[in-house]
Amino acid sequence: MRIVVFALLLLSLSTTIQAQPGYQGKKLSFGYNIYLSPAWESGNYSGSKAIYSYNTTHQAKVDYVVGRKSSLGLMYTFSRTSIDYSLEIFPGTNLYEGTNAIKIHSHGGGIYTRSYFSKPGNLAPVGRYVEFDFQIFDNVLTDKLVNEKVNRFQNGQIGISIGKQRVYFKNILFDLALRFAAVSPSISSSGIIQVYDQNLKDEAHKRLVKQHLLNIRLGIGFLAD
Amino acid sequence: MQKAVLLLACLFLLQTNLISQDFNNYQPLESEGKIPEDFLTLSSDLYKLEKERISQERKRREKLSEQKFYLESSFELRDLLFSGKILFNDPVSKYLNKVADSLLAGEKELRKKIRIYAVKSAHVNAFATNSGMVLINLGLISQLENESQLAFIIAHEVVHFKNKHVLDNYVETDKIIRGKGMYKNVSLEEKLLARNNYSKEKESEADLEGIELFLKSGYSTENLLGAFDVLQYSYLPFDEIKFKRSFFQTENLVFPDEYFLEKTQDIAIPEEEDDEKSTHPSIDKRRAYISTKIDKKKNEGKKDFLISEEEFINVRKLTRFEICRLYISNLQYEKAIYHTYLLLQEDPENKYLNKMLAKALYGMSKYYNAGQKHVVHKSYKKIEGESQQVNHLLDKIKSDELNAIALKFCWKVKKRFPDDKETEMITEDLMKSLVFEHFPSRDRFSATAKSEFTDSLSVIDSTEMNKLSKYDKIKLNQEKQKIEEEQKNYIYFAFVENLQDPEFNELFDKYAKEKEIEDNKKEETYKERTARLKQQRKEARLKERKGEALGLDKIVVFNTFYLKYDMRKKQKKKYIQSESAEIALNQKIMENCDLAGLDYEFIDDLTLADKDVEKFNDLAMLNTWMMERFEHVENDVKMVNMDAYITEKLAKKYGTDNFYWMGIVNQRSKKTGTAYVFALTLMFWPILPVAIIYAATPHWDTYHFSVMLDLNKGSIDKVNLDKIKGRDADYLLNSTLYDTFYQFKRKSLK
Repeated sequence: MRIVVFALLLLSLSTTIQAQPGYQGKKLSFGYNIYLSPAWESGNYSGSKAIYSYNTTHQAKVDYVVGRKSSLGLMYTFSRTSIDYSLEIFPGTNLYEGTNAIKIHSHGGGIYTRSYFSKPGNLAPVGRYVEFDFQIFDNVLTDKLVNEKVNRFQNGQIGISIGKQRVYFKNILFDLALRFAAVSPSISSSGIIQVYDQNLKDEAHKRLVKQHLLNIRLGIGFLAD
Repeated sequence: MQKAVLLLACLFLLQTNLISQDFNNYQPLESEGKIPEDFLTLSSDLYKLEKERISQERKRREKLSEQKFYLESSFELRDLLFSGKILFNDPVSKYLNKVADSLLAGEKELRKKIRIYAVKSAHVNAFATNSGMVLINLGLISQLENESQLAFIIAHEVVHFKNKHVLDNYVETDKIIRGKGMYKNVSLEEKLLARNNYSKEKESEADLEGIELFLKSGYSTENLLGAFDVLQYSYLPFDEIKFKRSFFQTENLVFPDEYFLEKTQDIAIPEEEDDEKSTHPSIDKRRAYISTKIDKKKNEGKKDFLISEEEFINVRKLTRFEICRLYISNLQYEKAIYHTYLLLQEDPENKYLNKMLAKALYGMSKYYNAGQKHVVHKSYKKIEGESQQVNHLLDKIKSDELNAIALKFCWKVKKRFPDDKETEMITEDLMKSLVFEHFPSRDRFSATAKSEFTDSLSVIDSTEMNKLSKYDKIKLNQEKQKIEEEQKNYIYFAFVENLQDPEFNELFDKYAKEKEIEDNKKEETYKERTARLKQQRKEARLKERKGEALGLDKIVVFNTFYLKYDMRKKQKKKYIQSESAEIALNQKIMENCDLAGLDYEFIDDLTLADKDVEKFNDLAMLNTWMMERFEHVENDVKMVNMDAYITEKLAKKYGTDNFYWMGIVNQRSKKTGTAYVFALTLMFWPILPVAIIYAATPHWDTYHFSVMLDLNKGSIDKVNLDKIKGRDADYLLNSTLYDTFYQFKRKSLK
């Protein structure tokens, strides 16, 4: 990852002599995004299901303009949420039954490509765009009660975003977008503790699908020279 | 003593040099010296200054009206000053100021407040501004008979300024429109009448006080009343000379009789004019009350010319020469033809005049060929006087005939002035259109003189005819019929002399060959056409995505503009904001050119300093030239660059062919569809915040307009009008500008 960023930086510096694409010739930008997904149906990380509750995803990214209307980027994403899980210690006996909260922490990374609409005023990285991204996530499930990791699985995600990016004060980028994503089934997993059955993993997967299906993205970034 | 004589001699030489023009190689009038303060003061600063002067004693509504007047006049006046029409320190303006000096010799304080500028307009008119500018059209000067008439007109305009007539008229009109005070519950017709009466009152005041000013000066009143004749017959050319058939005719090219009127329409005898619907009193009334003020006894020792008659005649000649160009540039080719014809009577060999006539004929012919006769032709029925003959001729003539006649005349001019590139260009273009659109081969014209043609047939007398066989007689008869038929078309003999010229034949054959090649081109099959269209669409998509790569190193950005409107308000144009936005836009252009690595030069009214008179002239020239080219584009008429000499010189001077004109129009308007959005929230409540934001935010549209001119080719290369949805945010403008300059600079699409 570091090598890629370094290479992008070098490329950016070496091309300043010639006329180049990018907002006022600036091609490289760094940014932070927060994704908000409504949680009034399934609850957020702290279990709230209030109308104003959101699940949040945080993202750091590097964007590099490759053409007049296109850019490429790398991103690192972190998200968290939780699920209510019905626990049956002795299934079928009703000897112990209760609900517990399972925290889901996801870390992931990926790439994206953005295409800016061919409209006047749009010049990468400014203007309205469509973004396609692909990410791999490592999801860790932790029992809130005992604070112990109970499961871990990996999955992929492909997303499409439609948004608009603006520049203020010459270098500060503001991004507002709507992202739709599809979460793939688990591609590998490990460590189910006996008391938690396979159902937990499915519940977690369903939760992630819902969380990432539709998000509002708010971003802030810095446009490097 | 010797020194004084030498100094006087130098001054005399300088004086004559100031107005001397080589009329054979006449050059357009240009401003000289330092740019006056009037041109350099920002409109917003001028407005602030004038606003402070508003009398606090005025009624509130009148104060508002006055404020509005200052706002509009300060900004609109600046547009006029930089329109390319206004001249300063040029021989004409200098002369006008000298006349004003003589007129106001006893009114030193008043004189200091007056600045006189000449206006490049063929209309007979003069006007004054509230700030003390007196603007006099070249058209008016071209028709005057003496200096005293000019002095009276200046005196009239000075009174308009001194008595603040422009402002008073505005405030009163505003009052009339609003129907306030004595205009309450008054019909529209009565309102119009009241407005005209008020204006007439001010005009009479200007005449009467003007004549008082005039009488105090050393100018004679002897020929003063002639100024009213000038106004009365201002619709006529500066002279009445019969337009001779022989002007375009030759021994072989003889126009049919119906092309010429036996008698042109007489100039109407002026009837007593009803000035009820006019803003000025009738000429007769004005003449009458001015004559009462003239006392012949007091005229002794006074003169018609206080500066000099020679200078007046010279200046008048300058204006008449300049008007030829103005007519051509305004597509008034018929007027240009007669006007030039009048001037040619004095100097038939004048190069400039011959060129102007060639250009007028060229323009006329190109518009006729393009089926746009209505744009350049005015019906002869409405024309009075000798110039009617020109309009009649051009009414009857067909496009192929006009093309041939224009070519014939241009060829003559080209032969007489072989070094003139512009004439060469238009002559070649006329030849091309003649071949491509009307006569594809030389056989369509006779190389034998008309007289020889008739002679060859008439030599066969009846006794010889009898000796011929039956079939020879038939053939001879058929030949006779053919010739008679061709002779009916007078244009058949248009080029008898020219067809003896190998250069003419060579050029004709060159285009005939080109035409033949074009005609023989294989017709495109359906498959080929589909493939071509597919390729074109592909290229267009690629161009849209990747932009362009023009590979330019330098551009000249000129005359940028920024217009801000708020369509919801009564005062729609936001003058002050527009000016400050334009200043900021210029900064952005410079910054983005630098960032794109594109070398640039700026010619803009807001960036000029007092020493930049050359740039001022260049700006004036560019504006005029571009507007003329736009007219041709708009009318779909493909013309060669008739001012190639000037544009090429400009391109060379700035080191680039690429001149870029751009501007931004930003418009705020009422948002539509708010009710629908709220209706939608009733069905789906979570979108309520979106609906509120939608209703609370205004609707903005921003238009980015740009034109790229190639001054070397003399063409308008690119015209873009981009609509940017939304407000004219800095980042959007920067992004648009950088993108544009990046595409200019980029060498290739790879």
